Amino acid sequence: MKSLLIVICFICFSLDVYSQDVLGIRVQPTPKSLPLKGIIEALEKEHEVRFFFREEWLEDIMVHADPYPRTLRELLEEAFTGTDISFHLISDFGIVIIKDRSREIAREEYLYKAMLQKKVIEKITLGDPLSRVGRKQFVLTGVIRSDMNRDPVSQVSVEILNHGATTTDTEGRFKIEVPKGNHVVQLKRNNYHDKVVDLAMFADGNISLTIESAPRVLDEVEISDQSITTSRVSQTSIRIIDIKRAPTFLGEVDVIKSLQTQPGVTTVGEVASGFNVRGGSVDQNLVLFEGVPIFNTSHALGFFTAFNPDIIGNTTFYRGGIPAEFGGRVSSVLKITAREGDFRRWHGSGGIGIISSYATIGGPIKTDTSSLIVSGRTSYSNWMLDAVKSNYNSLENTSLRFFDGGLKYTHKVNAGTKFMLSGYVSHDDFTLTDDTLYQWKNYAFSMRLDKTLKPDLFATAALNVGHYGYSFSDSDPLQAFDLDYSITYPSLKVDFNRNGKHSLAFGLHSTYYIMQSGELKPRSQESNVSDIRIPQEHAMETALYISDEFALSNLLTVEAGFRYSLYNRLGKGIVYQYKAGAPIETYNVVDSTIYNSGDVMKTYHGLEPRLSLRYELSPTASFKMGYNRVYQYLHLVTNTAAVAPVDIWQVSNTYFKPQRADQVSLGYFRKLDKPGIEFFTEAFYKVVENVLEFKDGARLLLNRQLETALLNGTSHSYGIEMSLSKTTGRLIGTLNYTLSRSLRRVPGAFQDEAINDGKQYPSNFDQPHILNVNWRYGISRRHFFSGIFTYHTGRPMSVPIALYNVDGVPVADFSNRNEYRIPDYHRLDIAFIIEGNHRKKKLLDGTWTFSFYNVYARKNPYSAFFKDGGDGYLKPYTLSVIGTVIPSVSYSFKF
Amino acid sequence: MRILIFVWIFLVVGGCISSLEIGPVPFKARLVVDGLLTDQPGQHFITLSTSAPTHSPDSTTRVSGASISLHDDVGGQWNYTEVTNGRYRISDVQGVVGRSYHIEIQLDDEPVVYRSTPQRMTNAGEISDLYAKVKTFTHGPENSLKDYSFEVNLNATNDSKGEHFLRWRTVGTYEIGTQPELATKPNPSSPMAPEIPDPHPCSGYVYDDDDGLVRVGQCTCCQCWITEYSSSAIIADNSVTQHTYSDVLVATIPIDKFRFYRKYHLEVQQMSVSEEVYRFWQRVKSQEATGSIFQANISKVKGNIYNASDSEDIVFGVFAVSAVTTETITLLRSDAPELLPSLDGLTAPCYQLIRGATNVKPPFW
Repeated sequence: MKSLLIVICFICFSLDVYSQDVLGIRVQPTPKSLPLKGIIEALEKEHEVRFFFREEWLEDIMVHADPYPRTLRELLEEAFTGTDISFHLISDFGIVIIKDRSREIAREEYLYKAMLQKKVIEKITLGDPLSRVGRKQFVLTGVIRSDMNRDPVSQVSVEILNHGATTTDTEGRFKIEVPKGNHVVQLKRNNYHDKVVDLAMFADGNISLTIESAPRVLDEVEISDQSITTSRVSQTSIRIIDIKRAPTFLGEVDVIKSLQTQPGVTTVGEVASGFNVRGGSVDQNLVLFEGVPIFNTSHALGFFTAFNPDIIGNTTFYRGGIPAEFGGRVSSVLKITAREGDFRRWHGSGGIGIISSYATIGGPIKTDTSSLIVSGRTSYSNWMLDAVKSNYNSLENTSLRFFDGGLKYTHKVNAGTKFMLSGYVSHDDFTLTDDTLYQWKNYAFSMRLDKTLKPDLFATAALNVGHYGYSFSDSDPLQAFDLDYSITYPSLKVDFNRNGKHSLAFGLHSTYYIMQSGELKPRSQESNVSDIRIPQEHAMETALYISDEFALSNLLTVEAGFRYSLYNRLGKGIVYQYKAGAPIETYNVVDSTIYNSGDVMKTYHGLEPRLSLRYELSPTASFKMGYNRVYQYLHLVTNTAAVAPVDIWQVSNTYFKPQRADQVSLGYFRKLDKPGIEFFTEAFYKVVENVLEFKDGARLLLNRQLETALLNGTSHSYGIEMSLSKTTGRLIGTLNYTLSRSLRRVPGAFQDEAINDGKQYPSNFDQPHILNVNWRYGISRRHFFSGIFTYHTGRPMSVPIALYNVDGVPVADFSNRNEYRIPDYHRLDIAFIIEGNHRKKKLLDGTWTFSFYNVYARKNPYSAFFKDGGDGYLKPYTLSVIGTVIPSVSYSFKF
Repeated sequence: MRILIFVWIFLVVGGCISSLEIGPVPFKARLVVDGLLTDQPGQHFITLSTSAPTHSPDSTTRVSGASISLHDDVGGQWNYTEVTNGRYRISDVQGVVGRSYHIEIQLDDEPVVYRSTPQRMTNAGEISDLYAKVKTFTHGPENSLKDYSFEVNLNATNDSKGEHFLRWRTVGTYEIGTQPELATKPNPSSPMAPEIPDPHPCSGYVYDDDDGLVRVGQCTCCQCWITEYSSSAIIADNSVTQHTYSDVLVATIPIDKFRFYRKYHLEVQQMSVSEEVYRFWQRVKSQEATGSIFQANISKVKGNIYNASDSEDIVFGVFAVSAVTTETITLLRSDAPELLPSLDGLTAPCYQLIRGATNVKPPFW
């Protein structure tokens, strides 16, 4: 049969060269869609033309209405587009219609092979194969869930064999156009068995599929949404399994440190708290746990992340092109979703490390109806510190203790309604000396209802309460005090998602802030500390958003939307007025206005447009663009580069305008010809207005008139990020490089207030070169050797450039702000991982991780500071918290 | 296991501190003004010098030949006289509380005029109590070694009616005694032979082979006094206290055999300063913060002197106007918590023993 076709084709091509006349026949306009077969019969009657074909091939082929005449060639080409049918001219008058069965054969072969491999094959038919629908393309939508707990599974690769592919979003949903006919759909996802769907597609359809979880993990390092199959630029998903297979610091699996290996993400120093994105400060990152912002993401001043890895389900990170759903922070969004408990079986997991241990247990409260997962982690480092006190006197008065925990209860009310209750808590105690104690705490609680209102309309309503606070105690009798600071922020969120050709998302978010900006209380009668209480501050931030994702063409996908945010600073409170034409200083106060409780003291509002585009240049390459404007109404007030223990958050008010960021990201994404090799590059430009900078020598803590200590400035960040990944094979890895600048300008209203004379200067987070390389080599399916190499330019700092003496006191004259830099940062970590056997039925699945952090013992600076060099004058020094290689071993398990 | 744990913790917490080498830093010597006018009778000084590069803190030079004048807000003007290289004095004026003053400086070789911003003199308040307590520092293996010092604290009040910016500075004085008459020199006949007495001429003794040591006059190098000035910025913390200040640490005096040869005299001066000068000292104080891992970014220290015709020209230092309240405390050798070793056997002239020592007895001694 194949040989015959080849011969016929050869003849056809030969003859086609010599004659075009028959194909040039003008076909009369077709006022409505007509079957091709009927048109052919009419043409044979009217013209000297003959068609050769099998009737069943043309049964479903329709010719669309067209008010203008067409040539026969145009008509046939249009009719056969998207099908496996073609035509050829023979002997000037004959047209042979041929059906290419190679796709069908490939499909049958694939199904046969899948059956031999014992893959799960599911047969689905959408529409009636015998119906005569004229369309050649249909839209397939659906949701993919885990067989374990019926949870939606994100990042499942949905590939229509020989036609195209997509991935599921965070709700497990996908949407793809599929040609009419029979197809093979292949579902792939790490930690799940492959699934094959034998799909007969004769109408638009919505399907629901389950995939079976697998204990074996595929050899992929990190699925990133930067692949060409998603629409948004600057979006990344991080998988916990990859973090667990990477080197760790003291055996602690750390999602934030993993994030710091992403392009455009860095930190100001070794084990510093938080992270910096595209030259932004730490406070410009919105970290959401189950939709509730978390203000302090670290334990022990930044040594460890405050999230237990076993409670984390999905982690999605946006550093540009931020969707309209998110707002309130100008640099990035890190969305962490907690896992749900299994609805059918109880499972547990845990880990034992040098510093802490963690355990998680989850399972059904009522099978297939409700589930619970509870997770906790606690440090025992204080026990360790106690153990060495007799040997190492410097630790005599130091103690460190932390814990965190989370839970999530899920109840399926009915097929379309789900109720969730989740909670998160983290707590730190850190004692540096006998009489100084720092404590931090985060609480986040969320009550959420998910409801499918219509087959294509999904709603979520959430009531959240978050709390962040710290206290700082000094028990030295002469200056004994307690300093308390806290933010409480209840919020309401209502979100809607509508599927269809236009995927709509819209909703309302409202958050109320109660800030206790500082309370200093003397602890003893001898204490000479005054009782200072900075009045509570209240504010409310409300936002409405809407976004629409749609395909403008087969190649161009658009997600456009906007967010409108409204912010009110509420009473009670005092606003001081300062002398006109004079610097804002305490001695220039001329009047004040007192506001009562509930009064609106200041209002800000603004429209935040968001746009995300993807243009598919080819099946393996795409161009993406993202633009976002974001307002930020909260500011972290600090005069240090790293987040310090007693930094405070300040709500926008009369003097502190909201930060406003405008960011444009452009990206080119390409899968190279060699399988598993991906490359992308992104360029960005970000301007943030109204960033706060401290005045020289400003006192920030317990300052009733913070406006006298801070200045408004503008931040400019720009750069280019590049990433090359190998995602298959024994050796997988990623190389990320970022070339960027982060600059600030604070002109000041007066000469004394201008920083660096009002000229642009590097921000604390300006690190022009950032290089991250991570790799994993699979020695076998259970044994891995992995590593991370990190390099970034040292952050800027000011240094003394001249010395003098006033009244016997040495004084240093410092350079312009951030004119110099601390030494560059680089570090190599390696790990050897032994996972348990991959048998499906086993009691305990254990993994050993042997890590070596800072392999070549680089003394990277954590902090740069100045102290008396012995002659009374300041000299610069650096503190390297980790000055040597840190080996560690940890064990994690699940059952 | 304990050893293993110890290693972990030492590696992690121990860390290391190392000097930070910054590349070449451009340096330009700037004029430094250090001036003070008080409400006390007597002399008031202004010192002019230049700043020094960081790699050579002692390379500062004095600036002489300048013309300096003091002006008040009611038209008064007084001229300073250069008494030593770069040190200028005025002696016929006494600051008045409530009045504002500024200075004008014209350097010998330049036409430009440097001027201070007007400084208003405010009340200094009172030192209500000045007291000392012993502080013990342990160190060495198993904390077996102890050092002691006196911490001198004060309780004070300021003028609650007006601006209340205070600064303290201290002047410590102590005496040392040596025995220069017992100095010897090697015996020229043999290095093994007993040394020959060789009293210093200032000891008032001579040596005679026959009569031995013979006193021929007064010893002028047996007793010396050393004066120590505070070398850090001590300012009132107005953020957490109001108009009274309790237990403010103003001096830490190491207890050693020199400082407590007999007694230690400490004078504490409580000085009112303008907000501008207070902020100067506040920034200087922020520079003194030692290596905290969360140390605030250190910033420029701005004084109150400026070039009247060129705002780009940077001048360092301040001209301060202060009312002064003084209180003294004397700490005795017998107050020391442990018996101190004597200075016996020190045969050098006393003024050679410690830099700055003088044989002029202070009037209050």
